[in-house]
Amino acid sequence: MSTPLLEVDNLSKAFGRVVTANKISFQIHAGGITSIIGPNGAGKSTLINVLSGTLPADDGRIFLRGKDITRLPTHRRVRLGLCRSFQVVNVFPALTVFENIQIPVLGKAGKAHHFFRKLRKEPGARDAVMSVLERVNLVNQAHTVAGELSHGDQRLLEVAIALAVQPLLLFLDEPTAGMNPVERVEILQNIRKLSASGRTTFVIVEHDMDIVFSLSDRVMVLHRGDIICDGTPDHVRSDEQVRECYLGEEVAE
Amino acid sequence: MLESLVHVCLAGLAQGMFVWLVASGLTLIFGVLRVLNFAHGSFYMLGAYFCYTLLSALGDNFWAGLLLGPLFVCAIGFVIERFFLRYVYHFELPYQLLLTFAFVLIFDDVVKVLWGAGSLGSPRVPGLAGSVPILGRNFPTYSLFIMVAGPLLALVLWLVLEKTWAGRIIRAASSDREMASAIGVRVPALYTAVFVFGTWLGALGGGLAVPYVGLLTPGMGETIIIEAFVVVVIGGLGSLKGAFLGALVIGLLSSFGTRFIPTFDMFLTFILMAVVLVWRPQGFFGEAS
Amino acid sequence: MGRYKAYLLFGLMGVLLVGIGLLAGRFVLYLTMRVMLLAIFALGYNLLLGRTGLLSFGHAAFFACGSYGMSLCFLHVTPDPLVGILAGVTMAVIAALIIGFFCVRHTEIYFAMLTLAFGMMIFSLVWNLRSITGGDDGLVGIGRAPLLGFSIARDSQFYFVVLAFFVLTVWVVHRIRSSAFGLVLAGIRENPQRAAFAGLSVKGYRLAAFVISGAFAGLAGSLAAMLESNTNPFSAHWTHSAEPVLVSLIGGLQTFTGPIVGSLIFVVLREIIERFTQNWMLWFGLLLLVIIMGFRGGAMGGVERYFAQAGTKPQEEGRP
Repeated sequence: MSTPLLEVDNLSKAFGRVVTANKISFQIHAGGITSIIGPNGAGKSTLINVLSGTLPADDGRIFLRGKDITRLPTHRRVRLGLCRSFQVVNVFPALTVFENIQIPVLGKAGKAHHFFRKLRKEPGARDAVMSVLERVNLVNQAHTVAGELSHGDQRLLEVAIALAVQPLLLFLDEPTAGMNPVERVEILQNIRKLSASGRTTFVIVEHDMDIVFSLSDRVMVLHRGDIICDGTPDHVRSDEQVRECYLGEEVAE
Repeated sequence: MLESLVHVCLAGLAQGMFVWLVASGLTLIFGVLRVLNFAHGSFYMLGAYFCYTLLSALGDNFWAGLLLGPLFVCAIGFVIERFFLRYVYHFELPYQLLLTFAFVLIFDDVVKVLWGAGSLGSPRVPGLAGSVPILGRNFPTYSLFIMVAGPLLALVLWLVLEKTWAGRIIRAASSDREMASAIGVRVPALYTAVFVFGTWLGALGGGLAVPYVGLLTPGMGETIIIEAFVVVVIGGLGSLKGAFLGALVIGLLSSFGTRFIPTFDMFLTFILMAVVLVWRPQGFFGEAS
Repeated sequence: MGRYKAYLLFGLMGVLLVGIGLLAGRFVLYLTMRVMLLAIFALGYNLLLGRTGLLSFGHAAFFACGSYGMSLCFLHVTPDPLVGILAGVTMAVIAALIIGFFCVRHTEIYFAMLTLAFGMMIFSLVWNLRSITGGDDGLVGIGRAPLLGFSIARDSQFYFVVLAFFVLTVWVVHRIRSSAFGLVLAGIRENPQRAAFAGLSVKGYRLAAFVISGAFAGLAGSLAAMLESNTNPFSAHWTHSAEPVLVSLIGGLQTFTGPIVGSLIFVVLREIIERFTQNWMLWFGLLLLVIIMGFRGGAMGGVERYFAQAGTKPQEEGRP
């Protein structure tokens, strides 16, 4: 079997007495869309924070394409192909949409340290930025200041910034939060399209069960620091434990 | 040799108490308001100058001066928080820091205008003047007094914070501002109260320093704020325990430096700060970032 | 501001400055040089404050490194002014690298405290090492040997050296601001966490900005030592660190020309105030208060907003 894209080995993370990860182990292979679900406060966002380097793990190891990234700072993990988007819009507010995308594009192209060449003279970067903007339909807003965008557009920008580094593994933290149904459908189509093109493997933290079950190839259920179920959507839907912990929520129709 | 060492230690411990008072006010204000008050050294200086003036005016009564002096500074602190700082809490951090810094500039010159740019001689405190022989050498009685008064004040402060209702609110607001507001604490009033209390601590330090420093100068605020910064970096910003221990360490280090390597005395404290920064960046009792 | 309008304005400024150099009396020459030196200091500094969002209270120390580095080179190594300036800038850069290394790993509050403390550490060194630095007297007798064969002993001649370095600074800072590096700095100011997720080492870029601004501070300090013929230990004091901050604020933190305009206002205002009272710090403190409470955009901030609203598309000069 080929090296998994992501391997998590006995990962633990706790805040005082609250255990958000309890010796979790799993593997994710390249390709496809995996969802992580679980009751609120189960630690899904924390898991992403630990995997992306925002928070340190208490114990355990993380491997990206076989390379141990447990101690690496965030920007090094990004260079190795990992990225994430945020649940709460987290853009560069005073910069234009174009500039928001330009930063990760320059970072990816290794051109970010050029301190003398005028930005205007970096044509390759410009094309890359426009293509990202086309993919999320924000071309018309290219010169709008990010802080002045509508909320829905900001969410699109949010995901676009993460896509701009062309990650191999992309964590989306509740990508449809706060979106109206039309925007929701659009972003899901985008995710499907991108996933199909093969370059990026998606791991999505979500609440909306419709999305989870219609979109994912694989679902992992996180509850109180443990993965209580891991498999295809159908498998998870019919699991007893999962039903119990989601009592009251619509898991199966 | 031994009595030299002992004296240097004792002097250092006494010296640390003044920095501690300023640092404790600084760290308390930071813990609750999340503002680093650059002007805290100015409060120390103003406390010293007000106490000096009052004690002369009240017939050389040091204790009256010590009681009343800091209150004047508290009034100034109140005005600063209520009419200036309050409006900049939602500004970006650099602007908040610069606001407090503006007051440093203002008070530095105000002191020069009101009291002259030269230095004023320290008066003696009747009853605490003179010295006491320790291990064969004379040690100033006033320093001994500080060595007792300082930790006593620390104890009182700790008791207030741990055991009283007001203290509980301060500690709650310190760790979770939104929660405190949600349970009905009037945050703006609390902020003002904490700022004024912190001001009082700093000014008290200045007042106590009047008989100790030998000379009151307009530069005394600047030196003490740097030391207070070093103390809170070492002890951890927001931690009163850290401030106390940090101040003791700085006091001792400074005392040893002055006695044995005069040219580099301040340098030692900066080296220690650099070491702590590399080894334990949040300070000994600070929150990990 | 439209690009051609900006070039025109800078051209005019250049002509004006050259004119002053050729025609003005000693006092105006001296004052203009002081404005230019302060502008060099502030332009570099604003790369760190306005662009990268880091407030340092220790940059006076790098200015002093420039002053003392240049002076020590003149007194003990060679009177060649270019070598002296290089020595000053190098000393400032080394100090900025070391101090920056300790400081950029922290943000905001700790950063401000630490830069202040380390800056004062340098001040205490300068003050205490009398034998090397002259202590509270400073180093005296710093002369101006001929530069590339040209005599610069007179103020009217040295003026053009200062002008040349000023123009150089303006050009370099402009290029930095319009480069990829400059954009990344803005990103780091806006959202350091997201910048990390763009694969960029936030610490590394901050350190670079710190060192670059330190280098310009050193340049200003070196030239200042040559202008005044002596060094001043208080140039390392933290209250001197307030000058580039004030200047940038007065002129407008997010603008390119802000530090230049702010320097002019600062020097002129200080001259005026000092005619009436010694307590100029009090008045600048009050000015700082007013700006923070009311006019954070600064002088140029208002001007640029006006131009932006007037319909011209914002070009690099005006972009944050």
